[in-house]
Amino acid sequence: MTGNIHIADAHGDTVRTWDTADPETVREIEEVFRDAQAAGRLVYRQTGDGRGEQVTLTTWNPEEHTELVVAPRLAGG
Amino acid sequence: MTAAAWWWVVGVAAAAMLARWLVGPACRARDALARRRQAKQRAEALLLAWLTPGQRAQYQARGWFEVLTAAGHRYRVRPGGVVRLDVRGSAYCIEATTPVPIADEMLANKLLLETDERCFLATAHRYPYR
Repeated sequence: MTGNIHIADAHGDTVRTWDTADPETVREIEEVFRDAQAAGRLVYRQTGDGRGEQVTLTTWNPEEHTELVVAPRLAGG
Repeated sequence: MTAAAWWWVVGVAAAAMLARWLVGPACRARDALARRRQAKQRAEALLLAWLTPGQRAQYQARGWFEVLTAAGHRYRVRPGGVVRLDVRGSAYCIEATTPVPIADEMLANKLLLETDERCFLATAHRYPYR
């Protein structure tokens, strides 16, 4: 199973891909999760109806949650 | 070398130097503009991929979209802010802490509202809105 994680950044959308058949790519995505968590950014998975659900490294299932986005950290303006 | 020839050489050299000073920054500015435009397009494509069909139609027609939270509250996510619709008089200023295209910010607002409205309200700066 392959999946994509979209990182919202200055480039608009940087995409990283994983393949569950290649554990190295999954480890790279886990690193993305850790970096996001350290930066206070939230990760969402797409639920299929145009909505999202927060997902963390512990709740992420790379076999099922195949479309993710790392949202920018928000602060009151 | 005559004086005229001398001045011609000086003029050509000055023009070459001036061109070098101007062309470099102009090229960098053009490249930066292209990168920003590309980033905006990518962010919009990402946003559109994560909107519901109704939200997508609103965004494409008007540049904003509405979000219904789990508690049943209705908000309008606009470029640069969020307005509450079911109870009039409140708007929220909330922005990304890192430089991202506006569509990325709108996506972050939508997802936070839909999944954790309380966190959104605790994070955003509320101000009166008519």
